[in-house]
Amino acid sequence: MKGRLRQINYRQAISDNRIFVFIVALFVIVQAINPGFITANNVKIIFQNLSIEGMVAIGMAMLIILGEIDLSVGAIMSVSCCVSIYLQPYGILPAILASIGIGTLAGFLNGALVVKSGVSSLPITLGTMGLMNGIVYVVTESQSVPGTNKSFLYVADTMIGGINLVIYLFIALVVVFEFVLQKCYFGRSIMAVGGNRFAAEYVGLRVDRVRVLVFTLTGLLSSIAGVMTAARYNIASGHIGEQTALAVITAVLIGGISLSGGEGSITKAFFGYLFIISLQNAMRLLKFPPDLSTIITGALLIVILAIDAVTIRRNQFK
Amino acid sequence: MTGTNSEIYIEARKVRKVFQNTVALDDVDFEVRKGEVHAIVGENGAGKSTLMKILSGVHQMTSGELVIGGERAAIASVADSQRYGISIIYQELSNFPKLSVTENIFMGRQIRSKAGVVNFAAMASAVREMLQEYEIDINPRARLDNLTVAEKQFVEIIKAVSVYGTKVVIMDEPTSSLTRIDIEKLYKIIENLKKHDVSVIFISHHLEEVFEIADRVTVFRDGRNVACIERKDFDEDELIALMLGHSIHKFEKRRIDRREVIFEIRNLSIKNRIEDFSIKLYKGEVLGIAGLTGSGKDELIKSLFNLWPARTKDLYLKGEQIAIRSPIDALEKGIVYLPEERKTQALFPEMPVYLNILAIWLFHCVKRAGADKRTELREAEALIEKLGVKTSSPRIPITSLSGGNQQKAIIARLLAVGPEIMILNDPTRGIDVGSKDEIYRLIRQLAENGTSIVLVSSEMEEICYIADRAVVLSKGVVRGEFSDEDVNMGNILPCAIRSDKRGVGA
Amino acid sequence: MRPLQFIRSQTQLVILVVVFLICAAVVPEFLNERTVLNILKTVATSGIVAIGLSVVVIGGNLDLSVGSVFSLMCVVSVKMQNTSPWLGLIVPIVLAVGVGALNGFLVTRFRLNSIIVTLGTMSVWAGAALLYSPTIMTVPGTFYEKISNSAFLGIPTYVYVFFAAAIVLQVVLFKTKFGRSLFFQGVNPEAAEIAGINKNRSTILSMVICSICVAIGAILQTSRVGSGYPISGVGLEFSALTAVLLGGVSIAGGKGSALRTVIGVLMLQVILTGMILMDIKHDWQSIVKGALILVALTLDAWQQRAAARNPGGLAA
Repeated sequence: MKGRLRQINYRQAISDNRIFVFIVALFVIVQAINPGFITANNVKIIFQNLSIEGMVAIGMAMLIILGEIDLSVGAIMSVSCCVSIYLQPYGILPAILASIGIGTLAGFLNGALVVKSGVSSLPITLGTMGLMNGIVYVVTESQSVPGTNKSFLYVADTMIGGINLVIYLFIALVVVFEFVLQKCYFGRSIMAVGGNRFAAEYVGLRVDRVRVLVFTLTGLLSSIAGVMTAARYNIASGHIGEQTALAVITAVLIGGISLSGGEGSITKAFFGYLFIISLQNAMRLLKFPPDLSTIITGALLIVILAIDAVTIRRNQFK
Repeated sequence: MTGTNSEIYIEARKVRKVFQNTVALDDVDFEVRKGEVHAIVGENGAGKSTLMKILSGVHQMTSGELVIGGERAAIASVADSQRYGISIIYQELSNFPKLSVTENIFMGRQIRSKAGVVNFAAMASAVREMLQEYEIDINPRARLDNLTVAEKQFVEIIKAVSVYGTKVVIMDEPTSSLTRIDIEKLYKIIENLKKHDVSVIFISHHLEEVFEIADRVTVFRDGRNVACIERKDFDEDELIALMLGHSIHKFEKRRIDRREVIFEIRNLSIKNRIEDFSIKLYKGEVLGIAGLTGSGKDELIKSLFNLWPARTKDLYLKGEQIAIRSPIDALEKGIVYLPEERKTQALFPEMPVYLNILAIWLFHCVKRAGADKRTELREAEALIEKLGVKTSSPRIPITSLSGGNQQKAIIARLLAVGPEIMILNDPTRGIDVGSKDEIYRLIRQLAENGTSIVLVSSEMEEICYIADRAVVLSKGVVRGEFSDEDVNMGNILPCAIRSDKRGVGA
Repeated sequence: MRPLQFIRSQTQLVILVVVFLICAAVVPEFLNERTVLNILKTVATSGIVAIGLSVVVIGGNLDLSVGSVFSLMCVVSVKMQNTSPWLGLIVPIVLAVGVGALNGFLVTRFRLNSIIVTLGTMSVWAGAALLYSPTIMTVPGTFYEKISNSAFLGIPTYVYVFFAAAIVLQVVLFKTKFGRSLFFQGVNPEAAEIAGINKNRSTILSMVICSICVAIGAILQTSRVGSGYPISGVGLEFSALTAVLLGGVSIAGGKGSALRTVIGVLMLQVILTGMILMDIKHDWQSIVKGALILVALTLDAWQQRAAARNPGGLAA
């Protein structure tokens, strides 16, 4: 019996879940400095802010677990937002469906390109990001274009029990995708492919199919986020989603998901993103200049990367 | 308990495998009975791995016949061999380190509902049953990379047998990295396999273990099946004699004037790999370090260049203590290194032959690397001629050359800087016989001209052929040291394949 | 050299000429001296960044922060110029050394992927630029604005600076140990390490060179325009990378040259200028750039795979 306990590494379990410690620490420290932090109103604001971009984080989490990455998620969000705004005159439902359709297609194209060309997902999605951003700038003629259908705003503004509909949607997506990732064949295939692609092929998993599908799903999630952005702000602009890729990647990494792939959970990504948004909220409350906020996010990414790298290195020489 | 069930499950007849110019298997007959433990012994390159790769679908035979379960069989792929119930146990290749034991066993074939929801509870209890059946004490929820090497192997075996319905398990050197206790555990599992009528093909160079567990032993030599011996007739000396055969030619042993110690290693220890290794290298000699799989020789050499962390390490060059923090330090002190994996660790694939040859020279021997193409080509051509690298032009990409010529080019790279000490790791791996011979001649010549050479190899014959002195490494510990005429197969081979109770993790 | 051989070895140059001719055919104003001059002028500042970036890419890395660093250097240079013109020259360059060294340090010390590291530093320097100078700043007429606005043979001095920089880097790449080692480590970093090439030093040096090029580009830009604003470099990393890839530098490393990148820069600008003259809206440029990157990447991957499959003999 002693042998069996030895096989569970408790230190590893704690370090894997350190994001929860970070979050608690953040809340405690900031609350001590500025008691306005943990109030019903502020928490609501935090959740409002995170429920749209957070959907993108779900997709990014799956991609990084898979061992890939997608820099174009912000651009897909922007494209979908744009489509929603421009198709509003034709009715809310067609606009939403078209936006989601196009975003999903964009995700699919990313996946197909990466898999077929054999080139790493990083430069490829850099290219598609530019392409899609460019399309938005062309269509909007570099302006911020307001929507014409006021009822579209209802999509985002509906409240149930005092809580925004979008928040419910986000939580639902988190739950669904976490379930799939942890408990379904497809999700476990993602973990397998990300952990050891050759072994995955060896045991008969359809590796290419899984990869393309995850890119497509990320496109889907980004497009939903885009539709919600349109619903909330009713504006299309090339600037939407500019910071998304960076924020979301940092969120996933800080949540404890390793770039090397093969492990992680949507919950961790959620808390990672919660951490980032809370941190930004705190910085605003504490009257930090907004650009300092960008700097800190960038620096945070680097610190997390360094810690991640040291861990990987240590495991190489066991 | 012998596999008295004489029903033959696999029968291979006149199997022949030819790779380009080399005959790896020469009309080999081989058979496996149901429920038996059939060991295969033989030198590196004798053909045993090739035959196993054919059985497991990695290679296809050039000619020959396979009969499995009484029917004609054709194995064209790994999937095919799995269908015939053959599985080869790899240590690293086919597992998911960050997933649990249960998931590793069931990946791809999970117990799941129509909608795709995985039934973890059912899988866990199935795994618990499997583990109990084979008396293995592992937690089904444990993460795979928290298990020991042996435990990971056991998981692989369970996976093969219980989930894939394997009837013939091939284990290639399974005990190389195992402690004595783990080896006993492995034997117990094998006994259980036999009870379930599963056959085990057990490739090993540790004769003692073979004697402990096998029902029959087949000896391979030079691509042929030389003998198949039943348990009751097991005899160690006879087996060794069968493995040895005769060498191709004999290189005369030369008288070495061992006066100057040019390089010395003291107390080299590497966690889990090497235990307190010490050796002296004399000027102008060829020192052989013989080590088979699991001996730790690769990590030993890498640690010299700080490419692998060593716990303790004292290095002396010409009597003075030195520190080598990277290959650059070593180069500056006149020590060069030929890595074992040519493709990933030595070649610059798209670059031309002459640049590959000058890769070190350009940065350490020339004051200004000003791309004076004519001088560079001349320098490279001189080396190409000296080593006999067959290439139509020094400018063609190095990947156009054959393996042997590529290796000669890499050796040329090392020679270009005029080293005092050369450390060669498996220099003739995967090379045709002709090139091998040329390289041996070259090594002898270099030694005669004063270069000191450490030849690390898993081919015993190579060591016997060319080394003036040989040290045999097994499980991280030196098992024997021989000089001059004593460097022969009769001494070295038994040393390498005897596994007594000492060793790393014993 | 036989014609077919020549074409194959100078593919990019040939494509440039072809593209130029096509544009000239479609838009007659193309052959105008003024158009060509405009192309050269626009190319100069962003081109310096591109050739600096190509040094990094040849070594097997990438630097996505060039755009933000450019912004930062612009505002630093302008602010310094208001104090003293010499400071406006020296401070950005010194700062660039620090920026490049930081990038290099992070990549080598922790063995991190340069793309993601520079994604992080990109953010840091973008924020820093905005913090340092939230609005546009102008420069009083300084002496080197006059120099850089001078022309020789009708071509502004800064264009010459660009070509001079390209030649300098070309020499560095092919005639110094450091430059040549980049090719080796780009092709096979592990073999390079074992062969005794000082990868860490080369990587850091390549990133410093890149940042210095960015600083020079920023100085030239601010002197030419007379002002600097904190978001002037947004999207520059994208253009620079497009130019680098068009110039035949392989994203995997080990192949390319500074002069080839110049061709890539020219090619890109010719295409963009052609688009402008054809009255295509400015916003389409981003689409074209994105498409070009994808095309260049796929072609590069194709070439690599063809080479691996067809070594012309037995491979290891």
